[in-house]
Amino acid sequence: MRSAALIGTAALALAVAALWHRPAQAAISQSCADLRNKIVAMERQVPSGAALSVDLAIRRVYINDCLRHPSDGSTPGSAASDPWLDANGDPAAPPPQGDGVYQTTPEIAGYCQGASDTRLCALMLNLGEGEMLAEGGDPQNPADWEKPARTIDPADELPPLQLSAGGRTYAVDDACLGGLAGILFSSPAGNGLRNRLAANLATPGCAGELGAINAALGAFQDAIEQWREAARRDRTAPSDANGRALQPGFREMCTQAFNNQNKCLMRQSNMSTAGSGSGIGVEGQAGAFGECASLYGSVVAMCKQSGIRFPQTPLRDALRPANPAPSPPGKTASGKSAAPVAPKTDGPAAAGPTPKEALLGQMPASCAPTLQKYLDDVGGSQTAQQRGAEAVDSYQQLAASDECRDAMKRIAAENALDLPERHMSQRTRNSFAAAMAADPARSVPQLAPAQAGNGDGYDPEEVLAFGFALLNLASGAANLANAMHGAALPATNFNSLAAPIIRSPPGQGGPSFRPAPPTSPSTITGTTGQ
Amino acid sequence: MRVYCSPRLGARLAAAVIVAVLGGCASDPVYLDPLAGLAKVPAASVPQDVPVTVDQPVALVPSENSAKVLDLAAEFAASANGALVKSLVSDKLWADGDPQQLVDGAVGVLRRRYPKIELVDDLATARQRGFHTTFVVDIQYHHLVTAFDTNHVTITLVVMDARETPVSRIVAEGKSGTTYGSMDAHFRDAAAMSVATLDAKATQFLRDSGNP
Repeated sequence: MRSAALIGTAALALAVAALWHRPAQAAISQSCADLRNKIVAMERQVPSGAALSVDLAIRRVYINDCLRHPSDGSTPGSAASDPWLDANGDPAAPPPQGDGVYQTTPEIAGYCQGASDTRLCALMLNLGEGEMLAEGGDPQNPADWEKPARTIDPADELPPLQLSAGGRTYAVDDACLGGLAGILFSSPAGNGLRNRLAANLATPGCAGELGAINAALGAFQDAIEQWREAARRDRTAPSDANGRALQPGFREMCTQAFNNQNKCLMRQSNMSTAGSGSGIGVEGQAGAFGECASLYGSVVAMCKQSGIRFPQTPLRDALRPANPAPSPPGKTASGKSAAPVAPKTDGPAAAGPTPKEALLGQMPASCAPTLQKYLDDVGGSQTAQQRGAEAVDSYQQLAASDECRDAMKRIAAENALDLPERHMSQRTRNSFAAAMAADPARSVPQLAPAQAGNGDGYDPEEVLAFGFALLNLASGAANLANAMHGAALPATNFNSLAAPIIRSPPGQGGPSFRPAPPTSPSTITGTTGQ
Repeated sequence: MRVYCSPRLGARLAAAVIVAVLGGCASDPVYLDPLAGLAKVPAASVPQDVPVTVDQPVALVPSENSAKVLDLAAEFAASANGALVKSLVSDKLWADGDPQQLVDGAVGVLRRRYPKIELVDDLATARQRGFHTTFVVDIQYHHLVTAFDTNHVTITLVVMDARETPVSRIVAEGKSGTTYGSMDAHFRDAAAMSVATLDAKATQFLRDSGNP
């Protein structure tokens, strides 16, 4: 056991060196940097405040996943500005010239100076696998323990949100967005956002930013609606000759959102047929697709407010509450040329609504009746659930013909739409293709000759005793605070779910009680514990 | 993928319970219905473990969950925690948690019976191409994260007829554990058990129509 522990410690030291003995990287990942740039670009292109709820949600994602709790390995200690330390935990120059072997934040470095293994201490705190006792804090008081926060480079933060309406511009930085949401989106019935607003207004830094907005809005009984209406009408002059709505990146984002919205709507429609209730399914998987459609729908709405136009797809018609009158069957199906003549479009901004006649005209004659039935099913007079089921059936009939399917593929490609069909990811295809190419006789994993893990020689009673000791050591619970002030989503508390936290003071190392060493060879080293 | 690690991992590591990190500190994926995105009915509505006659030609369609477990493993391997774990353990132990062994095993069970089975994107494609039987292969697993946890693997084969209507659902499970202090999570034991169970059930419930 000691051998394993020594090897484990040595490996950890090597891992630390491997992870941190690399050139200082950017404080945020490339994907986060891309997201940041897209947010900034979007805010330049969209009329100020016209899509505030979407903007706040996207900002919340960036703040949460890129700055406060990055999931890409950019943990505390990975910022270029974080100090390097040598093997003894003393400040050192960066490698390769200097003796530095790892990075961490100054706070963690100071905290771990008293630890028996400063590198291990810093590694675990960098990874968020421990908590630090506040200066002068009481180790018995859970409130005095806190997780180390990643040092956020001010350069990574988003620029303050600029809200312009009625000739005035308000700047609100991220720390005060919760209060902004409290001003704009809270309802009299709920007090969550109002509480956020009150808390933000009590913060000196936010009071200055939000107070002016709050005071201005307070002068009007329906100030919020007025402001939002003003923002909706605001058409800021394009920043370049082409105009913001025509910028390729923005149009591409809008096209993706539109396609994804329709994909989610289609899947929700498919799911609805599994239940016995009426209407589109709103629970479980169907509900998830509904939420997906709603999210992308908000982006599509933002794009529409920015002047982007989208084609009216049959599915969207089908899912509308009001039933649009279908065109008379046969009006366009007969007499049309079998040769597809597809009008070239220039993307959603130039496509406009696609007439059913034009669609039918692009199909081979043999496919037109099936497409007509599909469109009729979509726009039928039944419930959405019935229409969804019939539309799926008729689409499947359409897709069953190679000729028709190819024509649909062409039309979809020309209109920047995805067919409502599933595509295997490349990773899945590669994995299954490898399995298909392997020798099937040798692809069955072999069962272990003995029960798993019998060779380590531990006494079950000691193992249980140690587990109970760990449980007794545990105190507190994991709290995952909602990182974004004033997010529209409720804060989540996992107290009822999470295992209690063990907080070891620096230098203490592992629990004092250890089970007896094994007498059988280790499964890793082949050696026997001492 | 967000990687959540147990707050107790530090203490575990200090006590050399390395097996904890072999689990990848990773949250299990949120699994969907095995027929999600493929069919209009949930897999739970399909009769389980009922004999079915298999007409050839035969197609294979991976489920969304099968894609998820592959994505999860790939993302963990590419993460900082994955790099840490890989530096701590042997190649053999690193490979122990690879879900490819589950894919190989499940596909192998089918290929031994239907050597000409073909991989296709979805059920509509299978129907269009005239396959008489389609197997949806669904793989779900939980990799243990503590020595007191259990590896759990579930492989589900949903058998669809020529009209892509589900007719039978074959479910095979495997479980395994490890011991405190071991660096070996023994995930392969759960994998082997699930594949062996699938093989046995396939022998029991899949009947050949006689068509080559």
